[in-house]
Amino acid sequence: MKRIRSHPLLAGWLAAILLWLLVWLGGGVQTLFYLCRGQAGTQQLAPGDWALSSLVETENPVTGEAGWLVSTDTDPRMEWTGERYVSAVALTMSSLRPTGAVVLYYKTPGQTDYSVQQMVYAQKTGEATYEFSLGGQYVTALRIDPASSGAVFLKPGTAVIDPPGSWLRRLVPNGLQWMALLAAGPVLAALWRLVDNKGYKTKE
Amino acid sequence: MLTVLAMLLTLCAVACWSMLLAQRTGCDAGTAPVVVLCGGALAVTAAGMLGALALGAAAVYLGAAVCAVLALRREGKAALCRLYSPAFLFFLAGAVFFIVLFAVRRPMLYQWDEFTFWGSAARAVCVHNELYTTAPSNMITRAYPPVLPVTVYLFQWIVPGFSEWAAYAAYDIFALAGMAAVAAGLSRRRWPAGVLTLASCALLPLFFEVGASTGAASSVYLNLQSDLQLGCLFAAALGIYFTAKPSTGSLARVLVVILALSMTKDMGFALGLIAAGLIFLDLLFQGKARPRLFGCGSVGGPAIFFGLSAIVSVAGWAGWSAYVGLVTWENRFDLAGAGDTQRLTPLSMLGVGLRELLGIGRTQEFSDLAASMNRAFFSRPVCLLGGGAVVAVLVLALLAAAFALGDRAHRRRVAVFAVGSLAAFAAYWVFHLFLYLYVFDPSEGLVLKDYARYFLPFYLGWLLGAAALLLGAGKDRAVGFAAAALLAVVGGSVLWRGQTVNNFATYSNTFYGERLEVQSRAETVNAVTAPDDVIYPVCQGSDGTRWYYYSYELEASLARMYGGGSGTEQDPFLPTTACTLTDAASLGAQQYEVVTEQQDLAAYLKECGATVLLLDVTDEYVAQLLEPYAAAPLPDLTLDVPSLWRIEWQDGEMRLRPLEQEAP
Repeated sequence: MKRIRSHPLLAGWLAAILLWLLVWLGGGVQTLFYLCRGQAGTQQLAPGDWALSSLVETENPVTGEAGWLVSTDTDPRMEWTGERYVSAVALTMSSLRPTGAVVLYYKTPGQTDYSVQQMVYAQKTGEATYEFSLGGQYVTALRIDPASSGAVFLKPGTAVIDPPGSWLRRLVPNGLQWMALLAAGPVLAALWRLVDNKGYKTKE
Repeated sequence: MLTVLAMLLTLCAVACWSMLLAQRTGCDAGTAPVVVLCGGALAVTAAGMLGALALGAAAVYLGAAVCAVLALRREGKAALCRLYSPAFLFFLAGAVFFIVLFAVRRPMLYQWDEFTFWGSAARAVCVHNELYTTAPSNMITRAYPPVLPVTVYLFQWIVPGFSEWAAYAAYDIFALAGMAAVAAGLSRRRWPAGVLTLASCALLPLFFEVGASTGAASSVYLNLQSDLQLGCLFAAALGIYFTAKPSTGSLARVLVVILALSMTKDMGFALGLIAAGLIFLDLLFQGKARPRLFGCGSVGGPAIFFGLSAIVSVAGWAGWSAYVGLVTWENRFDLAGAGDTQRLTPLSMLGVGLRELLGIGRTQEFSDLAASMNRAFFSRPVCLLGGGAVVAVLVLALLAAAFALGDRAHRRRVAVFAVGSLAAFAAYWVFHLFLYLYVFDPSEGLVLKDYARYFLPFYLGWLLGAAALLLGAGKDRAVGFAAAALLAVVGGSVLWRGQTVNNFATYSNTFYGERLEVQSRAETVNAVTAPDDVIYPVCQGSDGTRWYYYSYELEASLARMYGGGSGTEQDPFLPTTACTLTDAASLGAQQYEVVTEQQDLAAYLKECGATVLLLDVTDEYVAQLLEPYAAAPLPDLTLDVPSLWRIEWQDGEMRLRPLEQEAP
């Protein structure tokens, strides 16, 4: 207690890091639980595993290559149904023009409709690779909106649910989580100082 | 890496100036960065108006070195210790955070207004080392006030060129400086309250996010449109005053911020006068406790302060307007009237508006708009918890806590602020009613366009001003718990309803696909065109976004696109909404389109002086339209590369020649 009073900032940061580690380990336990039930782990989805909406098959208009899709309105969708625990999804997808925002929605048990509260935006990590971080969700369906405008030519490739190392990567905070961890030190220290009445009984 | 170093060097310069300011005036270092940044931007702007922008920036940096020497010579290490205040450390830590975050993630401009002015202006200043009023660019307007683009320049002055991520970081650092002033001057026992209040300050922009519940991406802290910065400056003016004992020195620092307000955005003029008015009222009601100010006792001091505030606000606005009138074609003293294009000066707008407000010759339009704004106060969301009424309740709750926890003098101060700020809000509301009625296009005024954006600066400053008063109350621990309650409300709202998935720290780079494509294509165009070329782009199916991107990226001028618009003879580069060229039979297939026949397009290209045709996104109709003029087959699709054509005139007939043939 004396050490916390004398180094409240350090104590605050330690507490935040501990909490973060606990959350990460909790995710690990959850992953292990679902793995034992056969509802977690790396899974590959071929292009044919998706139900398409507002996407029609076509040829690449420049090269003539078959197997391409073109969006027919501003809301094209690819949907997969299945129950499992998901940390992340990686999708390879070529496109001839900018796709606009690429978004993933997910449904949890008991849900009938998708919700904007359960959506994840893609991060483009390579020329044709899009990654979605769900942070550990038990889902009953996934829906990817591969473009946000019409007349976009796409060629979705393999999608990988929980690529190897997904759980480990959850240890690395994103920008917002970094901000929260950095701010947690001073904020927790301030709250502790308020609660610890002794600090206010001493005169300056 | 160089840009990161340049920004850190600027932070050091700000710290040096802040150190000297704190030493010589006795103020808390937390109030110094905003004064330093405002003063620096104003000084460099003045230098820029005289054609010596780079020299002005150099003077700021040299001055910082001199400040460091002076401060350290007098006090040694103790001078550095003056920077060890929660508010200053919040500013410094937040600034470094934004620099590192954006240097790693590299955000890009993507909102329209960032290309019509804000981003383009900052870029023009950085690239050409002169004010954007005279620098070559395709900007829509050159008249907006200069403080923020010049601040961006200050942060990137040492490095050639322009970094968009650094512009965002500079803007956010400017906002942090304003927030820091609110929690300055706290005693050691009050540091928990200061920390918790500053944490709330950092989250407030996310709290005022509208549209987060729809899943839309957040533009908070990734926005060059200056509304956040305006609110923080307004708060800073109040914070500098409320966090220190009134003195001529503290009021002089407030005047610097008030001048910067009028030179940041036109609305800053009104906010500066509101801040001055609230401070004047506070001084007036201090009675015998009022110190001598500006060499005068009694009410003379406050009156001089308010008079000076009005003078600097008017001088700032009018001075910039006169300069703009001198070097550009724009007349900032005229306002576009609504409906029948009656032109109003600012004074006549006020006269007409006040008469209608008092019921003299009130039109039905006035009554309808007033009713609409009344409803909007309660129902139109301006924050995560609802409308302006919610913000007002939050402000009044903070003031009630400040009142309950303060001594007699503090309670008087809180009461004066409460009444004064409510009156100020009413005036601000009326002013916006006039804007929607007399300045905006009727279709925009009717729907209260950008209502939340325009009220954000006032609400933000109002809330932060109330927070500053809370921190000034007695009873350290109780104030701390009140600050914790504020953080719980703001932080809880952000966690519950805020955009935590796609915001400044987690945004998706898939938004930048179109920007990157246009950037790449523009490089190709720039390589084979000259700065004095006039390029007409064809972007079928676009809503104007690609036109704005090209206007930013191209070194040559961009022609007004066929389809009409609101340009003037003096301002030939005001675009229409980018129109898809179509035939009468297909009309209605796209959102923005115009029926175009061959001879109309050819005549238009001659009229606007286009020398290059850029087929960016083309189709069969455009190919068919231009085929009779082309010296080679035209593409009906440009999915991978754009197609460039030189426009020539032979015997009054247009000829199109592929531009690649000219490349050496």
